[in-house]
Amino acid sequence: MSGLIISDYKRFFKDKLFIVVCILAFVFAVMTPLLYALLFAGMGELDPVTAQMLAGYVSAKGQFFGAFSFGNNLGLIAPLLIGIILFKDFSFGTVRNKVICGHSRTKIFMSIFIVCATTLFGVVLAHALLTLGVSLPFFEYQSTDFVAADMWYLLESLLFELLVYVFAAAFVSWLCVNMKNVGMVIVMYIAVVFGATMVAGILQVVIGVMQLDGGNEQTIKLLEFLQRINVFNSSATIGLGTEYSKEDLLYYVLPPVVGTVAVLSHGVLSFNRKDVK
Amino acid sequence: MDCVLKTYGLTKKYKKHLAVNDAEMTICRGDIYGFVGENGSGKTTIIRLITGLIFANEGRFELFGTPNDSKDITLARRKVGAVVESPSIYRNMSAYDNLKMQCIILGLPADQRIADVLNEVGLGDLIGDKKHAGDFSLGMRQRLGIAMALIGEPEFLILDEPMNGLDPAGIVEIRELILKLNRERNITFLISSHILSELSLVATKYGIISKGHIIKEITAAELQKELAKTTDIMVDNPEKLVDVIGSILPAEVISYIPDGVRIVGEIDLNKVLATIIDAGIRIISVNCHESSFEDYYLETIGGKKA
Repeated sequence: MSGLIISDYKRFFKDKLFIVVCILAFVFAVMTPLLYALLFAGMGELDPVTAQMLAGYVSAKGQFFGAFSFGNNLGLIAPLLIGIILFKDFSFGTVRNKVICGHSRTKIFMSIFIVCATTLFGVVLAHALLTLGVSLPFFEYQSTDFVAADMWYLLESLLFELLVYVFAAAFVSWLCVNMKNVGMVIVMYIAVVFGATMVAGILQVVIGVMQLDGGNEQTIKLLEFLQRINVFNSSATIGLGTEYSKEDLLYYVLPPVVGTVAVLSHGVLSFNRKDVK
Repeated sequence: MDCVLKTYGLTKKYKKHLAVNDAEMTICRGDIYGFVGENGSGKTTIIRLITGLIFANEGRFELFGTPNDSKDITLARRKVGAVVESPSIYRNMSAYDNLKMQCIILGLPADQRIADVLNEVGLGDLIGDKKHAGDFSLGMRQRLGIAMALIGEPEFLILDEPMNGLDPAGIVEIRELILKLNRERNITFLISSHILSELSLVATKYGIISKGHIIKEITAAELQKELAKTTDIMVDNPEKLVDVIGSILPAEVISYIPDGVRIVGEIDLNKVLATIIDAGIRIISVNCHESSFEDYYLETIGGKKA
């Protein structure tokens, strides 16, 4: 399998789209904190309510974890572009070389997944670190002193982000082996990610309104549950607090892990039955 | 004889369309198996089945004696190289990098062998050239595809329409390469093509497929006999001709047709005609005919004879 993984890495790094991903990662990492800094400078003194609302953005920590956020900026584009690069094995027909010379389809699929997961998280992490670096001259890391517990929280948060991106990589790999052409990969990816983030946004509003109006408690709990198991939405909230409750740990670990296992299992099964063009 | 490939009732359906129907074929070590059939007859589908790209609905096959449902089939596949339909190459990489990638996939060292293979397929000029394979002509891509299939030093090479896109010189080069590899390294070939004249220059065995079914397998030697020259001699006195011809030619080459005889095989026509004339028989017509592979093929698949 090492040969498959090395060949997938090689073709990945040789692809011009990888350079595009790197350029986008750099541009977003530099532009986003600068734009926020300019925006806040222009806003002057903030009233307490606005300051509270924007608290997540006026810290380098907020900028850092915001860089992981799925469904916007690099979080939306990077998985898509990486998926397009990896799908080229199918559009060029080179995947046939691997099947013909005797590599099992499970190994071929897992190789795509491993390369997708590592490159995707690598690119987004590099982007987030650069964002942090650009943010620090303009914002404090956080409003309180950085203590040992914050380091533990930071590492936990990175682990949760990793789980989210591993799930995203599994989904992208699944698209690669199940879609007929690159157009379908793009459409399906955008539809699912946008769909998931839109549903999350709508649920957020509905839950807020129901809480204000004293709506049915069971319904609110159900909607909150649905909101929290939405893996594509979870990256928007990871790292924005100071510590994780036991419930948080459950919701940040189980849905991406179960989702990844489910998507990979289906991907392996379907690829093992699929006719290769 | 050592069997490289044997299929048993291979059948492949796409919804209601029966692409391959109960296909039985046998390829032995050292064969150059010419796979002949009209467009859409199922040649490529059978190749896809053998190479593991698609799965059969019914039937099975053995590759180097290993059943297709055995776990060891992956080991048997290591001995196979194939170019199926269009060459499978990375268009954004050079010829050298494409072969290097194939070496990595196969777990082989990327060494001098790449240069040797490129030279072998007539792409020696591209060693060190950074030009992307996507910018190659169709013929160059075809050669690179063959090089990709060759780099793993296969014992069984499957080439689906290998002459497609090649210029006449390229066709000759690839033909000579096939013959050389077969002769020097005993590589077994399965070559699908509808250019019968080209195939007949290399094939040692043929499989004729029509509507998904392999209707005939025949060796080149057997085919030569089937394609033997025939001479029809029509005369005014056929009864007397039978005695005259029977006295100068063996009985097995003579068959009787209305108003004359048909002689199969090479004969000294001048001598035969002189004998007939000397016997006082008047010759009405002499018709020499040599069947071509095309005639034989059309006759076999039930089409009209040329």
